[in-house]
Amino acid sequence: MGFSSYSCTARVLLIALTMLASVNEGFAALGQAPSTPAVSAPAAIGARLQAIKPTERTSAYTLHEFQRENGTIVREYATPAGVVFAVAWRGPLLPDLSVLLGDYFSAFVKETERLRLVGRRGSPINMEQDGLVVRSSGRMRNFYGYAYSPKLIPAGLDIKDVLK
Amino acid sequence: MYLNRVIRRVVLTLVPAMLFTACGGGGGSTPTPSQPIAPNVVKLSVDAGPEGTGYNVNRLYTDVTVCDPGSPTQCQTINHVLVDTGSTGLRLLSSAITSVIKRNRIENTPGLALLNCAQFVDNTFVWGPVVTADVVMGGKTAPSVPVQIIADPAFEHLAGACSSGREMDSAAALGANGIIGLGLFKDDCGPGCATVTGNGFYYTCADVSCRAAAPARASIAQQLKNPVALFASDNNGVLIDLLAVNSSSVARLSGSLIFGVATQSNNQLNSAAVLTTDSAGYVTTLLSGQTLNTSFIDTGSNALYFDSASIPRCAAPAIEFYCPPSLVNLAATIVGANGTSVPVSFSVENALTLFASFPNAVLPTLAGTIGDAKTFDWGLPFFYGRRVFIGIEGQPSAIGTGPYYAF
Repeated sequence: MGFSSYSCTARVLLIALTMLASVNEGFAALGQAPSTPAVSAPAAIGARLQAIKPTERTSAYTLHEFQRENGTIVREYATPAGVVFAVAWRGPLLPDLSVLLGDYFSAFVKETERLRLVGRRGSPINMEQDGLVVRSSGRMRNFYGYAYSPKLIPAGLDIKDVLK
Repeated sequence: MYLNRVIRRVVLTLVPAMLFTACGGGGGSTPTPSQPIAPNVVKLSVDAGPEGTGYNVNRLYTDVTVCDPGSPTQCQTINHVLVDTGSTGLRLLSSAITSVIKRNRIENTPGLALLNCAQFVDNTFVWGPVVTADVVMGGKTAPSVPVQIIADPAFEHLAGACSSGREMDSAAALGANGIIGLGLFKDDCGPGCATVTGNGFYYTCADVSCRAAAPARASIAQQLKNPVALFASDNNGVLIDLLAVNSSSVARLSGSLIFGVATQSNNQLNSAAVLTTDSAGYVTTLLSGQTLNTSFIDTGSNALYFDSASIPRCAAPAIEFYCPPSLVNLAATIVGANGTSVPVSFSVENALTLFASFPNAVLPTLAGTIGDAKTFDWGLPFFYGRRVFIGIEGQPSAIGTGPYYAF
């Protein structure tokens, strides 16, 4: 999965929205409404966000992309009904997953603790359970990954096409 | 099925052992250190780790001495510091430090300590103030190095990138008394932290009592450093030289951390090939028709992590490790950004059987899944029986300028 190209299948037509995100825009959480200029930054975020692309809409989902002040790029993928079903990131720091994963964060923590108990150390996260898929990899100064909830993906949409 | 019975039995015995045992075994007292044969060498060990910190598997340790800057006598040697080529900077647990170095805090503005947050990919982090110390390893000294004190109780207020995830604030959590990041880069953050306030790596106390922390810039000079680059000589990289392991598990393994690349008779390249990395430190692995172009070589990962469609996973709860019924031999090729390629053969064995060798800490055929179509994480088992050079960014050597790996 790279950030260099969008999935542009014939079925998925990109239509740029005129809406520009404000610099105070916060992350949206998985399972919740996407970020909008009206959303203020949650206290836990700290760093400012800078919109590097206008929010873009496809026929099947909307894409919201932001660059954190620290350089990490965060993408949110939302259903036409306005529910974030996937998030992705790349950059020098991990995003605050307690915000980005929303209600799913507790499942993520439970899983990462379990991975420690079974003996994984310093390893990328490969999680696929409790209605949550997380792939998180990289090293200090360069992290990348994504998370989605299979139940939230709009019908007929292949998540591989969305995240590639 | 016989195999299932075995797995079930191993799981039943293994998991409680991992959950509840403190590592009483593992070879007893620390062996008597023998004098390094050259000033650019320190000993390495893969062993059970600090006592009482659980079952530490494939973790590489060394001793690090820190001194009050300029003082040859105000020093303390910390044992079982984790050697991590996937990060940069020396980070020592507050609870392991009895010396005066904790006082030498770097301040962002007068009276307000500079704080550092280091994230690791497995949802863990370390947090604490930055101090200045001389770092002594063998006959080498890096003067006045910014060093993080992990979990200093005077600076418990977490912030930003270190406010969620698991804080590694004890030897039990860390499986070590500290981390020495000897990776490809000189600084833990780089120029971005010198210019951007909300950089996520650096913070400062908001008041003299440090009841809150706020994002802060840190100059390059203030940032945590790969201490090797600050040695007066033998400063262009390291050679990690670990013995081969000729069985499925052993209690411990020793080796050498040799400073410098092609600077002394003991760190010559010999037949090793040089693989440069891309600017982010990645190389490419070719495996079973896949091109994994964000691969890395990392002593801080405790197994080989990669995806295989053919090797069976372990039974729950260890499904992220591989459990083939018998030894599997595999062949890959690692390709540098410079196009140089090296074939690498490796083996995978049943992880649950390997874990059942507790307290053996050295498991050369331990491997697990990664869930990433672009990455092979060549963890510590890659280093067993190899001489692996790591060239530091921007540091020239007879074989080129870092960042590179050579093996």
